[in-house]
Amino acid sequence: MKTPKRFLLIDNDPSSNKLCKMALCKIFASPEVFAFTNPESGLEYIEQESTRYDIDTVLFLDINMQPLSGWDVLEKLNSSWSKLSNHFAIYILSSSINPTDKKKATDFHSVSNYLEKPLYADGVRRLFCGIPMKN
Amino acid sequence: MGTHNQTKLQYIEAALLEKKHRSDTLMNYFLIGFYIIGLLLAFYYDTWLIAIGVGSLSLVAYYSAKRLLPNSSLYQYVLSLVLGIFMAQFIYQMHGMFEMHFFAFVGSAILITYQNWKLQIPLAVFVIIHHASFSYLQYIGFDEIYFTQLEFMNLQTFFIHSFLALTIFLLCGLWAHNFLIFTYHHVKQGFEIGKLEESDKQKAKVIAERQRSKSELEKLVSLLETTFNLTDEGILVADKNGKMVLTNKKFAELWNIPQKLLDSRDYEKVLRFILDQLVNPEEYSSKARDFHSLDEVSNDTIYFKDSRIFECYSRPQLSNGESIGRVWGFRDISKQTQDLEERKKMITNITSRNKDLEQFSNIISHNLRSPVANILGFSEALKEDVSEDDRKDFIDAISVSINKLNNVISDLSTILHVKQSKNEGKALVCFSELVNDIKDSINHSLLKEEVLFDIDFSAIDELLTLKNYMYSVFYNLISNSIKYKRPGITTTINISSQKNEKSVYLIFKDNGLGIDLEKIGDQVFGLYKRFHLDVAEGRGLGLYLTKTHVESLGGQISIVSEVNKGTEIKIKLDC
Repeated sequence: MKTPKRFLLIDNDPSSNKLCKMALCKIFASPEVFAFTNPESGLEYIEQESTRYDIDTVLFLDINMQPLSGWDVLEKLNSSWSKLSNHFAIYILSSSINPTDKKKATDFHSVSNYLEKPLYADGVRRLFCGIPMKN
Repeated sequence: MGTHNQTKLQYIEAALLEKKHRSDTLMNYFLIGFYIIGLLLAFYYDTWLIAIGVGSLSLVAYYSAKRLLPNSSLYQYVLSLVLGIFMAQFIYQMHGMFEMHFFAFVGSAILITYQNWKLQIPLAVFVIIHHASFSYLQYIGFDEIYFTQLEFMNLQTFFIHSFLALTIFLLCGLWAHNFLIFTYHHVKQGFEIGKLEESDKQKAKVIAERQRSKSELEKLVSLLETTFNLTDEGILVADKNGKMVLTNKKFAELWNIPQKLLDSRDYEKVLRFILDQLVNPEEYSSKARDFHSLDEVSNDTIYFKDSRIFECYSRPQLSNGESIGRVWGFRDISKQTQDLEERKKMITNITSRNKDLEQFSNIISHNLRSPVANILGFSEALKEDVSEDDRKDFIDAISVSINKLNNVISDLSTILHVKQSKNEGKALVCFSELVNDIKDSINHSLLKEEVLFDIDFSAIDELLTLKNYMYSVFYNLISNSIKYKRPGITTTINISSQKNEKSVYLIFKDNGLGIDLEKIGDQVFGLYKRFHLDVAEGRGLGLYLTKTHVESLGGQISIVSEVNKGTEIKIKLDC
């Protein structure tokens, strides 16, 4: 597998983003992490940085956000997903332990997995060391 | 007609054939009798040979003719001849005894039974030949010939003898012929009578049949009538000429039609009486007078002034594909409709409750779980070796999360309280006072911001309702207008009331930031939904609570908003 070079965090809770970043830092030496508390700016970034699509990127996406929910972000990414999919992996990172949310996540073929908050270093290791990245 | 004649002919033939058979049977006795007479006469002059020989030959001749040609009448002519021969035999046996000549008459009389005059001819011819030849032979002195015992018989006597004999034959022939004609008429009459009897029988059968179908019909009618009056539907049948043909009891009952009016059978009058009870009589008047339309079935719901609701359906009464009248059925569906309405309401209620539950489940999994996840994450981080600065940061983050958790729990408590405290007593609430109270309580922020109030409760200022709910509604909407004001312009808040027969309307209008409703859709009143993230205040609770309160009071809330223009919220409450 290729080690992801870039991490995008979209979550309107800064604390959650901070925790996520901490976990990533424990596994990867100085990873490239971009955190967005506004989902719209996160989307904008993904679309604008289209020239760097070839960088292996992992997106951690929260569900419960405003004005766009995580589902809305996934819908908006759907159209460009075919271009992204080679170098892009999306993980839902949500505080929700509701099975309906987990089930809904499987409806999006762009979603690699559903993760419950908080994300620990162990979780990051499980995801990226030893177990191949799903494409 | 041809068949009739044929049957008649067959009938006559059969009757004649039966007569013939009867006569034939009689002949058997006569011939045996003649044969026996021959045997008896043989005693006198010992003429056994003649008695047996001639008698037997005669019988053989007769029966063989009859056997050989049973369908021809030839054997009857043979019989005629045989009767003549017996006469001649007896005359001979009694050696010309005069009385034996009478057997010619006996034979002639016997033949009448066949009712054929022609049968007399062979006998007559034989008698003439026999008399002529035998009398001649006797008188010329021929031995062994016996014709008469008279010593002397002149020509005159012979002629008288012959004349009388011929007269007998003629008369017998005449009677035979008359009998035939008579028989023919008789048989014909018999046939006609038979025919008549037959037709009488048939008539009786038809009458019985008719009687039976009549009683069947009566049974059917009584069955229909019973069913007709038992049914829960009012039924009316009217013909093209504007006459009521049929109505059942339920019809009169449903429409409260007086017996007198019902008895008049005047469709037009009854129709007017009926239409008078409806909310929209014009709607149905032309339809109710349409007897020509061949529409299969019409189905209407009709509304009464007294708020009853009937279902009415009708179809034309057809006869040979043409409409000759119309049948109407009416059913009182007031209760059904009411039930349906109630059920709809219940379903809406349950659906809304279900939505609430979903929302709660959502709150639990996101808004409660989210700070918990943070607390878990940061407390885990604290376990490891961290710098003093990080430690402080983590503890701050935990503290923020715990506050969030606390807020969510208190929000839930508020919401649950609204949903539970429906049974508190209502009181007369004065809108203008309410606004003043709220102005006082948020005076602090009003001083900071320049806000103009434009209050108009002239239409209605008081309402019997739950004061704390009304307070919450007014407070949330007013504070929203202030929170989400447009910077740089003077904030104005218009609050007014309107009233009609059933409802009271409260209208809250501001010139604030407004909400992009197209983008937000039905989430505008959602719990923890925020639309102005850049404004620090606000948890996404105000509009949710407002809606919950209004709906708890049995009211409705609607919103019109335009970004950077303002928002108008309209609340409708029952009087």
